[in-house]
Amino acid sequence: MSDASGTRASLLLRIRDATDQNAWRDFAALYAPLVQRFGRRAGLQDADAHDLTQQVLQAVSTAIHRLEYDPTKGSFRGWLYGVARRQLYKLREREGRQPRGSGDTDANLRLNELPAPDADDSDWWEAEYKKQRFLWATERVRGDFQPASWQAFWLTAVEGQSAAAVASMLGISVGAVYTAKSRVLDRIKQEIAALLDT
Amino acid sequence: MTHAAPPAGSKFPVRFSRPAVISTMTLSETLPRAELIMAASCPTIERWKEHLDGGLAPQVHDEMTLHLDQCADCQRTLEHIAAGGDSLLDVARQVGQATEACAGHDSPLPPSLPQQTQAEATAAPDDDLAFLAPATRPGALGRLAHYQALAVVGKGGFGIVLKAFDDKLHRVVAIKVLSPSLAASGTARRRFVREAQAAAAVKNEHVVAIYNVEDEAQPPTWSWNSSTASRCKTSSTRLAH
Repeated sequence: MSDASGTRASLLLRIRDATDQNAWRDFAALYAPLVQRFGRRAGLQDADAHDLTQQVLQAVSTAIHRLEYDPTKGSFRGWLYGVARRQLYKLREREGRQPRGSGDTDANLRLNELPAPDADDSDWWEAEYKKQRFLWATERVRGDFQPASWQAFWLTAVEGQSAAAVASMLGISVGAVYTAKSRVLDRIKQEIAALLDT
Repeated sequence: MTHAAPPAGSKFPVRFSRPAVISTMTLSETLPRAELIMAASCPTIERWKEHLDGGLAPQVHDEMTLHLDQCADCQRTLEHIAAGGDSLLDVARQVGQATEACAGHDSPLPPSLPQQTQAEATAAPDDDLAFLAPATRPGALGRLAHYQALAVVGKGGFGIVLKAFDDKLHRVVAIKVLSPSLAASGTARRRFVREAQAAAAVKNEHVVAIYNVEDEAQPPTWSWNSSTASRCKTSSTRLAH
Protein backbone atom coordinates (compact mmCIF):
# COMPACT_ATOMS: atom_id res chain seq x y z
CA MET A 1 0.00 0.00 0.00
CA SER A 2 1.41 3.36 -0.97
CA ASP A 3 1.50 6.29 1.41
CA ALA A 4 2.60 8.67 -1.31
CA SER A 5 2.32 12.14 0.13
CA GLY A 6 0.50 13.70 -2.81
CA THR A 7 -2.46 11.36 -2.48
CA ARG A 8 -3.10 12.46 1.09
CA ALA A 9 -3.93 16.03 0.14
CA SER A 10 -7.68 15.52 -0.18
CA LEU A 11 -8.58 15.08 3.52
CA LEU A 12 -6.34 18.08 4.11
CA LEU A 13 -8.23 20.03 1.46
CA ARG A 14 -11.44 19.16 3.22
CA ILE A 15 -10.24 20.39 6.62
CA ARG A 16 -9.30 23.73 5.09
CA ASP A 17 -13.01 24.31 4.81
CA ALA A 18 -13.82 25.52 8.32
CA THR A 19 -17.51 24.69 7.81
CA ASP A 20 -16.86 21.03 6.99
CA GLN A 21 -17.48 19.57 10.44
CA ASN A 22 -17.30 15.99 9.17
CA ALA A 23 -13.80 16.55 7.83
CA TRP A 24 -12.61 17.83 11.21
CA ARG A 25 -14.29 15.01 13.04
CA ASP A 26 -12.70 12.40 10.74
CA PHE A 27 -9.40 14.15 11.08
CA ALA A 28 -9.51 14.40 14.87
CA ALA A 29 -10.73 10.81 15.29
CA LEU A 30 -7.69 9.65 13.37
CA TYR A 31 -4.92 11.93 14.62
CA ALA A 32 -5.90 13.11 18.11
CA PRO A 33 -5.37 9.69 19.77
CA LEU A 34 -1.97 9.50 18.11
CA VAL A 35 -0.88 12.88 19.52
CA GLN A 36 -2.35 11.96 22.92
CA ARG A 37 -0.24 8.81 23.04
CA PHE A 38 2.79 10.78 21.88
CA GLY A 39 2.31 13.12 24.84
CA ARG A 40 1.88 10.26 27.28
CA ARG A 41 4.99 8.59 25.90
CA ALA A 42 6.90 11.83 26.47
CA GLY A 43 5.95 11.57 30.15
CA LEU A 44 2.94 13.91 30.32
CA GLN A 45 -0.03 13.25 32.59
CA ASP A 46 -3.35 12.47 30.86
CA ALA A 47 -4.65 16.02 31.27
CA ASP A 48 -1.42 17.59 29.98
CA ALA A 49 -1.36 15.22 27.02
CA HIS A 50 -4.94 16.30 26.34
CA ASP A 51 -3.85 19.98 26.36
CA LEU A 52 -1.01 19.12 24.03
CA THR A 53 -3.46 17.41 21.67
CA GLN A 54 -5.75 20.45 21.61
CA GLN A 55 -2.78 22.73 20.90
CA VAL A 56 -1.56 20.52 18.09
CA LEU A 57 -5.03 20.46 16.52
CA GLN A 58 -5.20 24.24 16.89
CA ALA A 59 -1.79 24.59 15.27
CA VAL A 60 -2.83 22.29 12.43
CA SER A 61 -5.99 24.31 11.89
CA THR A 62 -3.97 27.53 11.60
CA ALA A 63 -1.19 25.99 9.54
CA ILE A 64 -3.63 24.35 7.13
CA HIS A 65 -5.12 27.74 6.23
CA ARG A 66 -1.68 29.23 5.75
CA LEU A 67 -0.74 26.25 3.54
CA GLU A 68 2.28 25.53 5.71
CA TYR A 69 2.08 21.86 4.96
CA ASP A 70 3.58 21.09 1.55
CA PRO A 71 2.60 17.63 0.30
CA THR A 72 5.55 17.57 -2.09
CA LYS A 73 7.96 17.67 0.87
CA GLY A 74 6.76 14.55 2.66
CA SER A 75 3.86 12.76 4.28
CA PHE A 76 1.29 14.59 6.37
CA ARG A 77 1.93 12.41 9.40
CA GLY A 78 5.63 13.25 9.15
CA TRP A 79 4.76 16.93 9.15
CA LEU A 80 2.34 16.42 12.05
CA TYR A 81 5.10 14.71 14.01
CA GLY A 82 7.13 17.91 13.72
CA VAL A 83 4.16 20.01 14.87
CA ALA A 84 3.62 17.70 17.87
CA ARG A 85 7.28 17.94 18.85
CA ARG A 86 7.29 21.74 18.63
CA GLN A 87 4.10 21.98 20.71
CA LEU A 88 5.60 19.65 23.31
CA TYR A 89 8.64 21.89 23.48
CA LYS A 90 6.44 24.97 23.97
CA LEU A 91 4.45 23.25 26.69
CA ARG A 92 7.63 22.37 28.58
CA GLU A 93 8.98 25.85 28.09
CA ARG A 94 5.83 27.31 29.69
CA GLU A 95 6.18 24.89 32.59
CA GLY A 96 9.81 25.92 32.93
CA ARG A 97 8.83 29.59 33.30
CA GLN A 98 6.56 28.94 36.27
CA PRO A 99 8.11 30.54 39.38
CA ARG A 100 10.07 27.91 41.22
CA GLY A 101 11.65 28.21 44.64
CA SER A 102 15.13 27.06 43.90
CA GLY A 103 15.78 28.26 40.38
CA ASP A 104 17.51 24.95 40.11
CA THR A 105 19.23 24.96 36.74
CA ASP A 106 19.28 21.20 36.48
CA ALA A 107 15.54 21.02 37.03
CA ASN A 108 14.93 23.61 34.30
CA LEU A 109 17.20 21.76 31.95
CA ARG A 110 15.28 18.58 32.58
CA LEU A 111 11.97 20.31 32.01
CA ASN A 112 13.15 21.74 28.72
CA GLU A 113 14.57 18.51 27.55
CA LEU A 114 13.12 17.37 24.25
CA PRO A 115 12.56 13.76 23.47
CA ALA A 116 15.66 12.62 21.63
CA PRO A 117 15.04 13.04 17.90
CA ASP A 118 16.44 9.63 17.15
CA ALA A 119 15.24 7.13 14.60
CA ASP A 120 13.51 5.11 17.30
CA ASP A 121 11.07 7.95 17.94
CA SER A 122 9.95 8.41 14.37
CA ASP A 123 9.73 4.63 14.00
CA TRP A 124 7.47 4.61 17.06
CA TRP A 125 5.32 7.36 15.53
CA GLU A 126 5.04 5.48 12.25
CA ALA A 127 4.10 2.18 13.89
CA GLU A 128 1.64 3.90 16.22
CA TYR A 129 0.08 5.74 13.29
CA LYS A 130 -0.53 2.50 11.43
CA LYS A 131 -2.21 0.93 14.45
CA GLN A 132 -4.32 4.04 15.02
CA ARG A 133 -5.30 4.20 11.34
CA PHE A 134 -6.38 0.56 11.53
CA LEU A 135 -8.55 1.20 14.61
CA TRP A 136 -9.99 4.33 13.00
CA ALA A 137 -10.92 2.36 9.89
CA THR A 138 -12.47 -0.49 11.94
CA GLU A 139 -14.74 2.00 13.72
CA ARG A 140 -15.88 3.36 10.37
CA VAL A 141 -16.80 0.00 8.84
CA ARG A 142 -18.10 -1.86 11.92
CA GLY A 143 -21.71 -0.83 11.35
CA ASP A 144 -21.71 -2.46 7.90
CA PHE A 145 -21.38 -5.99 9.32
CA GLN A 146 -23.50 -8.42 11.31
CA PRO A 147 -22.22 -9.05 14.86
CA ALA A 148 -21.19 -12.65 14.04
CA SER A 149 -19.13 -11.50 11.03
CA TRP A 150 -17.54 -8.81 13.13
CA GLN A 151 -16.65 -11.24 15.89
CA ALA A 152 -15.20 -13.69 13.36
CA PHE A 153 -12.96 -10.93 12.05
CA TRP A 154 -11.95 -9.46 15.42
CA LEU A 155 -11.21 -12.75 17.17
CA THR A 156 -9.09 -14.15 14.32
CA ALA A 157 -7.40 -11.14 12.69
CA VAL A 158 -6.92 -8.96 15.78
CA GLU A 159 -6.82 -11.40 18.69
CA GLY A 160 -5.04 -14.12 16.72
CA GLN A 161 -7.38 -16.96 17.68
CA SER A 162 -7.58 -19.92 15.33
CA ALA A 163 -10.36 -20.03 12.75
CA ALA A 164 -11.42 -23.45 14.05
CA ALA A 165 -11.81 -22.21 17.66
CA VAL A 166 -13.75 -19.13 16.55
CA ALA A 167 -15.95 -21.22 14.25
CA SER A 168 -16.98 -23.48 17.12
CA MET A 169 -17.47 -20.51 19.46
CA LEU A 170 -19.77 -18.75 16.99
CA GLY A 171 -21.41 -21.92 15.69
CA ILE A 172 -20.45 -21.28 12.06
CA SER A 173 -18.14 -23.10 9.62
CA VAL A 174 -14.42 -22.44 9.22
CA GLY A 175 -15.10 -21.32 5.65
CA ALA A 176 -17.66 -18.80 6.94
CA VAL A 177 -15.07 -17.47 9.44
CA TYR A 178 -12.54 -16.92 6.65
CA THR A 179 -15.18 -15.33 4.44
CA ALA A 180 -16.29 -12.91 7.17
CA LYS A 181 -12.73 -12.08 8.25
CA SER A 182 -11.70 -11.38 4.67
CA ARG A 183 -14.73 -9.25 3.86
CA VAL A 184 -14.08 -7.02 6.88
CA LEU A 185 -10.37 -6.77 6.03
CA ASP A 186 -11.28 -5.84 2.47
CA ARG A 187 -13.54 -3.02 3.69
CA ILE A 188 -10.85 -1.77 6.08
CA LYS A 189 -8.33 -1.78 3.25
CA GLN A 190 -10.73 0.26 1.12
CA GLU A 191 -11.38 2.70 3.97
CA ILE A 192 -7.65 3.27 4.38
CA ALA A 193 -7.24 3.68 0.63
CA ALA A 194 -10.06 6.22 0.58
CA LEU A 195 -8.35 8.16 3.33
CA LEU A 196 -5.34 8.50 1.08
CA ASP A 197 -7.00 9.58 -2.10
CA THR A 198 -10.57 10.75 -1.78
CA MET B 1 -9.63 -44.12 -29.32
CA THR B 2 -9.38 -40.35 -29.37
CA HIS B 3 -9.45 -37.90 -26.46
CA ALA B 4 -11.49 -34.75 -26.78
CA ALA B 5 -10.07 -31.51 -25.35
CA PRO B 6 -11.60 -30.52 -21.97
CA PRO B 7 -14.90 -28.72 -22.47
CA ALA B 8 -14.78 -24.93 -22.67
CA GLY B 9 -14.98 -23.34 -19.20
CA SER B 10 -13.49 -26.40 -17.52
CA LYS B 11 -12.13 -25.74 -14.06
CA PHE B 12 -8.95 -27.60 -14.95
CA PRO B 13 -6.28 -25.00 -15.69
CA VAL B 14 -4.09 -27.40 -17.69
CA ARG B 15 -5.13 -28.75 -21.07
CA PHE B 16 -3.56 -32.14 -21.37
CA SER B 17 -1.69 -32.66 -24.62
CA ARG B 18 -1.51 -36.38 -23.90
CA PRO B 19 -4.50 -38.55 -23.10
CA ALA B 20 -5.93 -37.25 -19.85
CA VAL B 21 -6.15 -40.64 -18.19
CA ILE B 22 -2.41 -41.22 -18.48
CA SER B 23 -1.57 -37.78 -17.09
CA THR B 24 -3.74 -38.39 -14.07
CA MET B 25 -2.08 -41.68 -13.38
CA THR B 26 1.34 -40.13 -13.63
CA LEU B 27 0.41 -37.31 -11.26
CA SER B 28 -1.26 -39.56 -8.76
CA GLU B 29 2.03 -41.35 -8.23
CA THR B 30 3.41 -38.21 -6.57
CA LEU B 31 0.30 -36.65 -5.00
CA PRO B 32 -2.45 -38.22 -2.89
CA ARG B 33 -5.64 -38.32 -4.89
CA ALA B 34 -7.64 -36.02 -2.58
CA GLU B 35 -4.97 -33.36 -2.80
CA LEU B 36 -4.91 -33.64 -6.57
CA ILE B 37 -8.63 -33.10 -6.82
CA MET B 38 -8.47 -30.16 -4.41
CA ALA B 39 -5.68 -28.40 -6.29
CA ALA B 40 -7.40 -28.95 -9.58
CA SER B 41 -10.71 -27.49 -8.42
CA CYS B 42 -9.49 -24.39 -6.53
CA PRO B 43 -11.38 -21.28 -7.63
CA THR B 44 -9.41 -18.59 -9.44
CA ILE B 45 -8.32 -15.31 -7.84
CA GLU B 46 -11.02 -13.52 -9.84
CA ARG B 47 -13.58 -15.89 -8.36
CA TRP B 48 -12.35 -15.12 -4.82
CA LYS B 49 -12.59 -11.40 -5.53
CA GLU B 50 -16.23 -11.92 -6.51
CA HIS B 51 -16.71 -13.93 -3.32
CA LEU B 52 -15.37 -10.98 -1.30
CA ASP B 53 -17.75 -8.58 -3.03
CA GLY B 54 -20.66 -10.86 -2.21
CA GLY B 55 -21.97 -10.73 -5.78
CA LEU B 56 -22.06 -14.48 -6.42
CA ALA B 57 -25.22 -16.57 -6.60
CA PRO B 58 -26.09 -18.10 -3.19
CA GLN B 59 -25.34 -21.62 -4.39
CA VAL B 60 -21.88 -20.66 -5.71
CA HIS B 61 -21.21 -18.70 -2.52
CA ASP B 62 -22.03 -21.77 -0.45
CA GLU B 63 -19.79 -24.01 -2.57
CA MET B 64 -16.89 -21.62 -2.19
CA THR B 65 -17.39 -21.34 1.56
CA LEU B 66 -17.44 -25.13 1.73
CA HIS B 67 -14.20 -25.25 -0.25
CA LEU B 68 -12.68 -22.77 2.22
CA ASP B 69 -13.45 -25.15 5.08
CA GLN B 70 -10.76 -27.49 3.86
CA CYS B 71 -8.35 -25.70 1.55
CA ALA B 72 -5.58 -23.95 3.49
CA ASP B 73 -4.14 -22.56 0.24
CA CYS B 74 -7.38 -20.80 -0.60
CA GLN B 75 -7.74 -19.54 3.00
CA ARG B 76 -4.39 -17.82 2.57
CA THR B 77 -5.22 -16.64 -0.94
CA LEU B 78 -8.48 -15.05 0.17
CA GLU B 79 -6.89 -13.32 3.18
CA HIS B 80 -4.09 -12.06 1.02
CA ILE B 81 -6.46 -10.62 -1.59
CA ALA B 82 -8.59 -9.01 1.13
CA ALA B 83 -5.73 -7.47 3.09
CA GLY B 84 -3.85 -6.39 -0.05
CA GLY B 85 -0.71 -8.11 1.22
CA ASP B 86 0.50 -9.10 4.65
CA SER B 87 1.04 -5.69 6.21
CA LEU B 88 -2.60 -5.05 7.16
CA LEU B 89 -2.75 -8.47 8.86
CA ASP B 90 0.46 -7.62 10.72
CA VAL B 91 -0.99 -4.32 11.91
CA ALA B 92 -4.17 -6.12 13.04
CA ARG B 93 -2.11 -8.47 15.22
CA GLN B 94 -0.07 -5.56 16.63
CA VAL B 95 -3.33 -3.91 17.63
CA GLY B 96 -4.40 -7.18 19.26
CA GLN B 97 -1.16 -7.51 21.17
CA ALA B 98 -1.36 -3.89 22.34
CA THR B 99 -4.92 -4.51 23.56
CA GLU B 100 -3.82 -7.65 25.44
CA ALA B 101 -0.94 -5.74 27.03
CA CYS B 102 -3.36 -3.16 28.42
CA ALA B 103 -6.12 -5.57 29.45
CA GLY B 104 -6.20 -3.57 32.69
CA HIS B 105 -6.92 -0.35 30.75
CA ASP B 106 -3.44 0.95 31.48
CA SER B 107 -3.33 2.49 28.05
CA PRO B 108 -3.16 6.15 27.19
CA LEU B 109 -6.73 6.76 26.15
CA PRO B 110 -7.87 8.79 23.20
CA PRO B 111 -9.40 12.05 24.42
CA SER B 112 -12.79 11.44 22.90
CA LEU B 113 -14.90 8.80 21.30
CA PRO B 114 -15.57 9.00 17.60
CA GLN B 115 -19.06 10.45 17.14
CA GLN B 116 -20.49 7.37 15.53
CA THR B 117 -19.55 5.24 18.51
CA GLN B 118 -21.29 7.61 20.86
CA ALA B 119 -24.34 7.72 18.63
CA GLU B 120 -24.38 3.93 18.48
CA ALA B 121 -24.03 3.70 22.22
CA THR B 122 -27.03 5.89 22.91
CA ALA B 123 -29.11 4.32 20.15
CA ALA B 124 -28.93 0.76 21.48
CA PRO B 125 -31.92 -1.06 20.08
CA ASP B 126 -34.28 -2.52 22.66
CA ASP B 127 -33.41 -6.13 21.71
CA ASP B 128 -29.91 -5.56 23.04
CA LEU B 129 -31.32 -4.86 26.49
CA ALA B 130 -33.83 -7.70 26.39
CA PHE B 131 -31.88 -9.51 29.11
CA LEU B 132 -32.77 -6.79 31.63
CA ALA B 133 -35.59 -7.45 34.09
CA PRO B 134 -38.07 -4.60 34.67
CA ALA B 135 -36.51 -1.73 36.63
CA THR B 136 -37.41 -1.32 40.28
CA ARG B 137 -36.06 2.22 40.45
CA PRO B 138 -37.55 5.21 38.57
CA GLY B 139 -35.54 6.32 35.54
CA ALA B 140 -33.61 3.05 35.25
CA LEU B 141 -33.57 1.16 31.97
CA GLY B 142 -33.97 -2.18 33.70
CA ARG B 143 -32.48 -4.46 36.31
CA LEU B 144 -29.83 -7.14 36.14
CA ALA B 145 -29.41 -9.05 39.42
CA HIS B 146 -28.87 -6.25 41.98
CA TYR B 147 -27.78 -3.70 39.37
CA GLN B 148 -30.16 -1.02 38.12
CA ALA B 149 -29.05 -0.17 34.59
CA LEU B 150 -29.01 3.62 34.16
CA ALA B 151 -27.48 4.14 30.72
CA VAL B 152 -25.57 2.42 27.93
CA VAL B 153 -21.92 3.51 28.00
CA GLY B 154 -20.67 1.48 25.08
CA LYS B 155 -21.58 -1.48 22.98
CA GLY B 156 -20.17 -3.77 20.36
CA GLY B 157 -20.39 -7.23 18.94
CA PHE B 158 -19.05 -8.92 22.08
CA GLY B 159 -21.05 -7.19 24.71
CA ILE B 160 -22.39 -4.05 26.20
CA VAL B 161 -21.17 -1.71 28.95
CA LEU B 162 -23.82 -0.18 31.19
CA LYS B 163 -23.72 2.52 33.83
CA ALA B 164 -25.62 1.04 36.75
CA PHE B 165 -26.49 1.49 40.40
CA ASP B 166 -25.45 -1.31 42.71
CA ASP B 167 -28.42 -1.83 45.07
CA LYS B 168 -26.34 -3.84 47.54
CA LEU B 169 -23.37 -1.51 47.91
CA HIS B 170 -25.21 1.72 47.04
CA ARG B 171 -22.80 3.05 44.50
CA VAL B 172 -22.71 3.76 40.80
CA VAL B 173 -20.72 1.21 38.85
CA ALA B 174 -20.06 0.33 35.26
CA ILE B 175 -20.98 -3.21 34.31
CA LYS B 176 -19.85 -5.17 31.32
CA VAL B 177 -22.31 -7.73 30.07
CA LEU B 178 -21.37 -10.47 27.63
CA SER B 179 -23.49 -10.38 24.49
CA PRO B 180 -26.49 -12.72 25.04
CA SER B 181 -25.74 -14.38 21.68
CA LEU B 182 -22.33 -15.42 23.02
CA ALA B 183 -23.43 -16.19 26.56
CA ALA B 184 -24.46 -19.71 25.53
CA SER B 185 -20.92 -20.52 24.39
CA GLY B 186 -18.73 -22.10 27.06
CA THR B 187 -15.56 -20.80 25.41
CA ALA B 188 -16.87 -17.25 25.26
CA ARG B 189 -17.98 -17.37 28.91
CA ARG B 190 -14.62 -18.68 30.11
CA ARG B 191 -12.80 -16.07 28.07
CA PHE B 192 -15.03 -13.34 29.49
CA VAL B 193 -14.39 -14.41 33.09
CA ARG B 194 -10.64 -14.77 32.45
CA GLU B 195 -10.54 -11.25 31.08
CA ALA B 196 -12.26 -9.94 34.22
CA GLN B 197 -9.89 -11.87 36.48
CA ALA B 198 -6.89 -10.49 34.60
CA ALA B 199 -8.23 -6.95 34.95
CA ALA B 200 -9.01 -7.45 38.64
CA ALA B 201 -5.47 -8.62 39.32
CA VAL B 202 -4.01 -5.27 38.25
CA LYS B 203 -3.87 -2.53 40.90
CA ASN B 204 -2.87 0.84 39.56
CA GLU B 205 -4.26 4.38 39.64
CA HIS B 206 -4.96 4.21 35.92
CA VAL B 207 -6.75 0.91 36.24
CA VAL B 208 -10.34 0.63 37.26
CA ALA B 209 -11.10 -1.69 40.15
CA ILE B 210 -13.16 -4.72 39.29
CA TYR B 211 -15.83 -5.16 41.97
CA ASN B 212 -17.60 -8.24 40.92
CA VAL B 213 -17.71 -11.01 38.37
CA GLU B 214 -21.00 -12.83 37.93
CA ASP B 215 -20.25 -15.80 35.77
CA GLU B 216 -23.39 -17.62 36.90
CA ALA B 217 -25.55 -14.72 35.77
CA GLN B 218 -27.32 -14.95 32.46
CA PRO B 219 -25.59 -13.29 30.65
CA PRO B 220 -22.26 -13.04 32.55
CA THR B 221 -21.29 -9.59 33.81
CA TRP B 222 -18.52 -7.77 35.54
CA SER B 223 -18.60 -4.42 37.21
CA TRP B 224 -16.21 -1.65 38.16
CA ASN B 225 -16.07 1.79 39.73
CA SER B 226 -17.98 4.21 37.53
CA SER B 227 -16.03 7.38 38.38
CA THR B 228 -13.27 6.20 36.09
CA ALA B 229 -15.68 4.53 33.74
CA SER B 230 -16.35 7.61 31.66
CA ARG B 231 -12.61 8.13 31.24
CA CYS B 232 -12.40 4.54 30.12
CA LYS B 233 -15.27 4.88 27.68
CA THR B 234 -13.12 4.10 24.70
CA SER B 235 -11.56 1.13 26.39
CA SER B 236 -14.95 -0.11 27.43
CA THR B 237 -16.20 0.22 23.91
CA ARG B 238 -13.18 -1.64 22.68
CA LEU B 239 -13.66 -4.32 25.32
CA ALA B 240 -17.26 -4.56 24.31
CA HIS B 241 -16.10 -5.41 20.80
